[in-house]
Amino acid sequence: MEEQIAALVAQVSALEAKVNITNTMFAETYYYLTIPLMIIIHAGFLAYEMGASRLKNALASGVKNILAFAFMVPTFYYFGWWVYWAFPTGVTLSAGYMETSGLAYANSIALPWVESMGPNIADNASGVFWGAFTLFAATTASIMSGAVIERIQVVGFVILAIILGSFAWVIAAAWGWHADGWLVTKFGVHDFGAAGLVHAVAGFFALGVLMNLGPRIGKFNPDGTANHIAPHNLPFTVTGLMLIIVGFWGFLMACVIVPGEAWSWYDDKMATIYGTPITLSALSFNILMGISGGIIGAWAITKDPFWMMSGALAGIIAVASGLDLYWPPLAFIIAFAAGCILKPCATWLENRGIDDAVGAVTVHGTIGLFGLIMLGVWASGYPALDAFVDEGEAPKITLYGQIIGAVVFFLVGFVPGWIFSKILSVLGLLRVSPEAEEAGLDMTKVPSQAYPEGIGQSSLPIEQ
Amino acid sequence: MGSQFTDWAQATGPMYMGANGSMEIVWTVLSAAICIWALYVGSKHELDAYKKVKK
Repeated sequence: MEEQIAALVAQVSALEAKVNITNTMFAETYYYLTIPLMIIIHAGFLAYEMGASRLKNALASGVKNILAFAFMVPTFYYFGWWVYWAFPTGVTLSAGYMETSGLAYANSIALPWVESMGPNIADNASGVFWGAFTLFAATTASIMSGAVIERIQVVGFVILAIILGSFAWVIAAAWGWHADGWLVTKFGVHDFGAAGLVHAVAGFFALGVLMNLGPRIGKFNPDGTANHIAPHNLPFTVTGLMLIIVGFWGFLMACVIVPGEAWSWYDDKMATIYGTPITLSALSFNILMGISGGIIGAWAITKDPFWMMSGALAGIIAVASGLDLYWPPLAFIIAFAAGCILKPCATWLENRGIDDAVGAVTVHGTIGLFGLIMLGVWASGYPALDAFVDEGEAPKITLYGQIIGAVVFFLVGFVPGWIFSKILSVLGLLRVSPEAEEAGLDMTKVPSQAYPEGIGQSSLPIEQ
Repeated sequence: MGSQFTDWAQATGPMYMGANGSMEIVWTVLSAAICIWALYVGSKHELDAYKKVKK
């Protein structure tokens, strides 16, 4: 009998070990697959920006976009990942209640020369988490990229992309996403899909840059009225937007914490980054309703395919903060509203002399804050964390807290965007020369043509 | 850099080349220096191109 029990115990132990390794493989594969999905976002941004440029600038816009991605990877490795773990409680770098934040913790897991930052058979998590966050960073930097096409210097842009992607948004994520983040623990900020801490930060960083960069030559008339500078390939741009939306499934999937691992919130269910329960079904309901509502809202107002696909993106962003909590028809209504206000908000900005070539400030900045605040309107009272913080009770989602979050995310984006672009402007590293801008950046510095044997150089680069 | 293992059963933790040594920081600094150099060269090329088009 004892022998049989011992054999049974051994079998159960072996079975348990197999289940554990299967779960670990699942968790690692889950985050690994979000990375190529998010690279589709960059395929989309590439097509979107190249198509939105005039013929004479298509390749230069592509070069800029590719470099934003390329420089984000090493810089996020060098310091971006460390910033995320060091700063949640604020600038004191002290450890938070969860004890997964602060200087000592960041130094132990995220400095670029520690054992977890390379091939390690005992660590199936660090690389895939770092990879997913790196793609968040690259996405954030690329949001700014489209707004500044056709007149920004490529190296000046790369420097700004590094500041945005490997520092500014990471601070926002540490404060508003990490379970020890002070915006979460003190104000109950809830931003599951990063409407504020990615999209709004990037959108308003772009606004700060645009204010110092200035409009493209010919965008505004002497009386201040704006000209429409048409994209050279609108179908390419619209397809790019659709690819961005495909990639966002990977982005939002990576915002989920899978169960059963030492670092998981639960053994039996998925969680948001805050430790609150979520299912992929919730994401499916609300992402699809968000896309649909945004497209229909933009179509109702504009009938323009560019704004319809921008509306799809705006629809997702508008409901991103609460993808875990919205009732799908309410998500549709919020996304529809975002689609409706998109073009009027972009026109409002344009009428103030801001030349945002692709509407990034509006789609990501304005709608990001709109989405963050909407969650405060509809979801007040939900616990913002599953963990129990110092005071002994989880903070609640409130409209007040979401507005505080919106103000902080606006400032974390806009202030560094304005300051660093001003510095680059003073150093002569921000804007291309007027002669190069008029000649076209492809032949000036790439130097190559996008369609040497195809469609000819546009004779009417600016349409009234 | 050579292998720290004589067989794979010894691999129970970090297994990258130079693990448990002191070269990680050197490679990190060197790779960062390459990024900075690339930006410098890129900027020089770009500013030269603008000067050419001005002439």
